[in-house]
Amino acid sequence: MTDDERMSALLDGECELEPEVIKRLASDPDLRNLGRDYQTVGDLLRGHATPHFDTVRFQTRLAAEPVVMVGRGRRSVSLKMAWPSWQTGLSTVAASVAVVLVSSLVWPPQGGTELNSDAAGVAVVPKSVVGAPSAAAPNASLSPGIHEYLLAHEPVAGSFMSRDAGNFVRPVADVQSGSRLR
Amino acid sequence: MSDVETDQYLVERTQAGDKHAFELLVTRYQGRLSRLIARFVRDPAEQEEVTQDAFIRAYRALATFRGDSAFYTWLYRIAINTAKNHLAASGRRIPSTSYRQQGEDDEPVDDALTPRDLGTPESLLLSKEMAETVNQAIDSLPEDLRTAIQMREIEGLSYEEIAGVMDCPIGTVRSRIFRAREAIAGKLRPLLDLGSRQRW
Repeated sequence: MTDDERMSALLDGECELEPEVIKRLASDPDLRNLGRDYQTVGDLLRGHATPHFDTVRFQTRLAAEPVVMVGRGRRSVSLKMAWPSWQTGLSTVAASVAVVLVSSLVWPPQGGTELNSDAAGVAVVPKSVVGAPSAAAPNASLSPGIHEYLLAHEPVAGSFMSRDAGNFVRPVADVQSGSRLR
Repeated sequence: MSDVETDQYLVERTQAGDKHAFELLVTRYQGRLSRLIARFVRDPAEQEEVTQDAFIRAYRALATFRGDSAFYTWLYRIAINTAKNHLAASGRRIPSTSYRQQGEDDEPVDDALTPRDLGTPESLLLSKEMAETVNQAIDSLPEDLRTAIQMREIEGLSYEEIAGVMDCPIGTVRSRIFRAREAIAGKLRPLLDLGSRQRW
C-alpha cells in the first residue's frame, strides 16, 4: 500500500497507524495536500462546500505551541488518587504498631516462659513444642519451598519472618491431612 | 482500526508529544470544522481564522481530553465556543438561523454547508464548476470504483460493510476508493488550485 492510499484510508478511519506512518503522512506537504483534495472530493459528492483552510499557516502556528505531554502526569495523578500520601504514612504507622504489639505478645521480655494462651487471648504456640527456631536450621516440619520463600523475604520482613514465622506456618500437606497446631 | 479508534490513537500520540498526530487530526476534521464555523461567521477570512483558533485551542486543551466523548464531539464544542467568543469579542450576536439552539452536551449536528452559504459570486461560480466536474468524473469511473466511492462518501458505509455488499476483500475496497478519489481529484485539481488561490 502506498502512502497516498494510506492517506485515503486515514480519512475514512480505516488505516492501520504506526508512529512512523503518522510522521510520514503528516510531515509530507504533498500528502497533506492530497488529503485536503480527497476531503474536497467527498464534500462535493455530498453537495457540501469546503471553506478555505491554510494548512501551512496552521502548521506554523502549531509549531509555536509548546508540546503537549500528559502521559506521566496522568499516570501520577491516578496513582495519587488510588493511594494518597497521607494514607501511606498512616498505614506505615499502623503496620509498625502491629509488629511491635505482636512481637511483645510472642516474645515477652522474660524469655522462654510459656504463655498461657487463654490468659493472653491469642493462640500462641510454645517454643518448646516446635523447637528453637533458627535461620540456619529451619523447622523440620517446614517444606523446603516455604523455607526458601521465608529466606527470600528476609531482607524485606526482617529476621522475624525467616527465623520465627515458621512456628506459625504449616506445610500444605499438614493442613490437608488435618493435623493441627498443638 | 475504526474511525473512533483512529482518533483515539492520534489523540494519545499527540498527548505523548507527537505534533504530527495532531496535524492528521486537523487534516481529518478541517472541512467539517470550517463548515461548522461558517454557520456563525460569514466572512471567509474570519472563518478561517476562527477555525485555526479552534484547532489551536483544542491542541492546548488536549491534556484535559480523557476520551469520555468522541474526539469530534469534544472538538465541536470547542469550535462553537471559539466562534461565540469571536462574535462576542467583536460585539456581534450569534446568527440565529445559522445554528440550531443546542446545549453544551448535545451531539454535533450535521454541519452540511452548501456552496450558497459561502456567499461570494466567485465562490458560487467556482463551486458550480467543481460540482459539474465531479459529476462528470464520477460518471466516467468504472462501475466498481463508482459504487465503492458512492457507498463510502454518500452512504457513509465502512470498508467492511462495503466489502460485504460488493463481495470482495476489504483491501480491494480500500484500493477502489483510493483509485476513485485519485481519478476525481485529478480532474478537479486545476479548479482546486484556483480555489486555493482565491479565498472562498
